[in-house]
Amino acid sequence: MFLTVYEQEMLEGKHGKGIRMAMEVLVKMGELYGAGRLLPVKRAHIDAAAYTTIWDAGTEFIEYLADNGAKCAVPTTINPLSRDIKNWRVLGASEEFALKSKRLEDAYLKMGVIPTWTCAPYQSTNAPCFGEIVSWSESNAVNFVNSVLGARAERLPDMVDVCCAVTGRVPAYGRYLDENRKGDVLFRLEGFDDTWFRDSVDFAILGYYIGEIVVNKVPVIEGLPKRTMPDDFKALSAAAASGGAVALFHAVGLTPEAPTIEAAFQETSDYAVHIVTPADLEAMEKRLNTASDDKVDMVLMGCPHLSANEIAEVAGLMRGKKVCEGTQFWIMTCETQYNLAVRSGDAQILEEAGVVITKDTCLMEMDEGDRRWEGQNFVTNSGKAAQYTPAINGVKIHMAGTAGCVRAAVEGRYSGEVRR
Amino acid sequence: MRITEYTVVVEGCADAEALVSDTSLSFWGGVNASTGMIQDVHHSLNGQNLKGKILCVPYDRGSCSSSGVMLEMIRQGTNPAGILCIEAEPVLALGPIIGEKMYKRGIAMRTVSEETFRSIPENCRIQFAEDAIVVQ
Repeated sequence: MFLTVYEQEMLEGKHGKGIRMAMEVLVKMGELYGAGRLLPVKRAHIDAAAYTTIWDAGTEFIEYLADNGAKCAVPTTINPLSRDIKNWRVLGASEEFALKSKRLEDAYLKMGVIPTWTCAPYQSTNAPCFGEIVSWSESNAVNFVNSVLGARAERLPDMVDVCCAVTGRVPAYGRYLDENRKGDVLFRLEGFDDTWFRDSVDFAILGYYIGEIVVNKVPVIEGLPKRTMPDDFKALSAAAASGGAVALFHAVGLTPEAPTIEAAFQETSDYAVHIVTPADLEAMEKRLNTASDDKVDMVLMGCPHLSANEIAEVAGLMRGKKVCEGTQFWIMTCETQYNLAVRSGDAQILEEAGVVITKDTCLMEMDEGDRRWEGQNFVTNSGKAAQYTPAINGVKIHMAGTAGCVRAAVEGRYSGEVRR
Repeated sequence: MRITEYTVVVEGCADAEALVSDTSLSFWGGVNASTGMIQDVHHSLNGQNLKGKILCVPYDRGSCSSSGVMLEMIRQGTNPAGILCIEAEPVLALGPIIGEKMYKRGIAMRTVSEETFRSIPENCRIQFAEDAIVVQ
């Protein structure tokens, strides 16, 4: 693998033991994946922030880097933590658990991260430009910046994301290379009337469906409406990276590398075509709906973190209503979006209605095996949460759109017809 | 069956009962790091324990945090003895590679062609030998 003089110095330890460790990991990875060289990056996003994603072993690794002089070489944002920094006690974390999170937070602050603690950095502080090479992690965020913004990113593993941020380098492999950004399978949407794709939950179900089929290939989607919004693409990105391992998709006429089908497939024509019908998505939704009764213990929105725009939409529907006794309604976001919602008055509307708005964290990352929600029924609009909360938290799922989520929270029960 | 066409992703030999699925797996959210138990309710291996076994899944999927879960499994000794797949993307391979640097032990990992992978029976024992993969 070719290394510049500066990269060679980093590898030899001239810039400290932390940087040396990070470079050793990147060189090993680059050699394994046939990267001829490292690419310089202008910005980074780190996934490995929550204690319950990297545990004690990951904490030791991050502390090794931080304690041995490694600092972010480029502007670097970072994912949600295992605790809400201000409200962890209220949300039920133990002192011991909060301290484990704090240990990691301190190591990252020492490295100089921008403490966004969000999984949707592209909606607040860190939105790459078209064609920009970035060091990115968090599966939904990789998919979003690659596909929707047209930046160059790959699904960097936790800890490798940190190695890249502190060296400002990433191995030249995978979706960083032109030829690997070509579409592999065309998904043609057929038979969807105008009632479809008006709520992000439809995009989530489509994303999960496509992800399961293509796993790690590049899907090209034809037939999404022009009115598709970034929040919709966020839901699709997250679900396609949960049902599968999609790092890049193209939506014809909507995403920047797919002005036409031909462009999405880089002028090749040997791709498979997969027709998607409403019946396919209805069957997909049925499989994600693991709950068998209409009880609602928790309504969960914000996977990925809600934008101020989405919070305003929920607030508009919640105005004048109250969350049903015996039901919880959690909205997950970051401090940045929350502050916007406070300025607009939407946060106050929601909190007065009994909605809990969490910052800096994620319900799935707050649970250290204590399974406090075990056996409960969750209503969510997120395909990603539908994949992970049953496994991590032992809950059952009803999928619903935004209006359906609000209605479920207010009534304390789920009725199938409220989805759209 | 004796497979001689394979690629070594992470060095190492292993000999253990295999857990075989045609569904890809996310270690984060899909596996309990402290016990090695597969907990993804949508996965065909849900409820099985990975510890000491050879996991056969086509690809990785899902979370970028799988590397963190695998590293913690290596620290706690709950990790599978080996992983056999069609493609080992960095999310699958880098936890074991960092494990070798930190704890001097990883998870042996090899890849085979899709055709070979699909021919592995559900109930079998797999040996990662020096010069072959032996399926019994």
